[in-house]
Amino acid sequence: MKLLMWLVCSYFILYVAVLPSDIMLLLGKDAPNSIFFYNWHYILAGYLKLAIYYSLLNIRYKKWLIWLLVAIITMFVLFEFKTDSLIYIFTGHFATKTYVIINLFIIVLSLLYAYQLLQDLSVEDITQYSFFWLNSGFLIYHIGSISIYSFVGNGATEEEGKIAWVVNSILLFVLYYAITASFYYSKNLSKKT
Amino acid sequence: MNTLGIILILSLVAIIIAGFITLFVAYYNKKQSEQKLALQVKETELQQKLLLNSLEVQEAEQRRIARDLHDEVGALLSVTKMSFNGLSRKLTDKTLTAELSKSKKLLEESILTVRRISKELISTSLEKFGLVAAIEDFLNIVKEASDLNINFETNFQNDTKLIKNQELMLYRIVQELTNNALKHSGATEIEVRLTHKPNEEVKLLFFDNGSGFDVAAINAKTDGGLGLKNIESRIKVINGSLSIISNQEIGSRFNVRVPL
Repeated sequence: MKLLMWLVCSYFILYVAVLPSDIMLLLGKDAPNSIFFYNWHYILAGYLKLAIYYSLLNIRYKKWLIWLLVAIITMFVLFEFKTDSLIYIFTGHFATKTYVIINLFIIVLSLLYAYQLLQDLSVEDITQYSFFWLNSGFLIYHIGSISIYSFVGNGATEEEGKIAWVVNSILLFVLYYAITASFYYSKNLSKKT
Repeated sequence: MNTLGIILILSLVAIIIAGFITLFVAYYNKKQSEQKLALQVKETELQQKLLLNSLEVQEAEQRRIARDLHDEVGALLSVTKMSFNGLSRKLTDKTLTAELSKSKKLLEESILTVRRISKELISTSLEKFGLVAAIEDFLNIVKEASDLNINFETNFQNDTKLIKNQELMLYRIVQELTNNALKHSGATEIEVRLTHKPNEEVKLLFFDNGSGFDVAAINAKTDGGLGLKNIESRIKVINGSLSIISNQEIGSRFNVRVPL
């Protein structure tokens, strides 16, 4: 039964990992690329992750912190309107600055959550805790992602771009794998004290 | 930066993250084990405190009962005895005098029993003269009241002094074990050895040649049986340990060790 569950999950990961790219390709099939959709996808996912951490964190000034981060990201998004990355469907520019800021914030929040887990110590087996996997997935993805955008920016060569996309796919695979584990272990959530 | 450089740096980043997560899990587990241990220690301490409190309450209750028995029932019985004496002087009828004499004997026995019980409940010699004197007193009373052959040995010196609680608990354990031997085992011989190793431990060995009992079965009983649970509780309060060997051939051997 467990093996079957993992097979189903693995299939799910493979499918979901490529799905956003497929949708973007489908929506922008006449466009030379799907960067416009990718930019918006990344920013909306960033806001969603902030909302997730808003629920997960128990720190004192959580409300202020998250709203501050939302405000900063929004400022960067508005700044991106100066370029064509978020308004021109055939854009060839990534919203790199916003990516970096989102990555940085999510890394900080995931480290804060890891610290919170260490302070609480209320989870019986951390490797079977749903939100540990989710947090680890986010941490891995965003550290990897920030590394990509630090080394391979808008002015990357074609070869560097190819590497960046391969690494990005691997990171996505890891992220979705972690999310699946998070779903799988969500059955243990009631056991947490 | 060339392609190889990028691959190397990204691989390094991946290794660092994997290492970080592994370290996080290891550190989390370590901290959790430490927390569990600390909780266990606190729980044990709390249990000991609760146990000590309940034993103190029990002790206080025994004192009250002993005082009431001695001061009120004992006094009433003594007055009754005096009244009987006065009555016997006035009686001329021989039959009635004989009947009264029988009643007086029963009354005297009652007075002695009340004294013995009150003495068992609260040992004045334990407070005044210490553990050895109290055990000797208690065993002498038992010896007089029964046919038991009792042997008590100790290496305690005059200046050997234990903590008040340790003395009280050891005394009560000897009482409990002796009463058990009397009531349940059908023993004819009892041997008590109390040894003191300065700064190390106090060892109490109690032997009886009775019928023995099934230790596992007694432990499995919820009410503990034979006051064994009571003995274990007392030992726990003074951080001691208990080992029991019991069978029909040798009777029962209790070995109590109390660290100093």
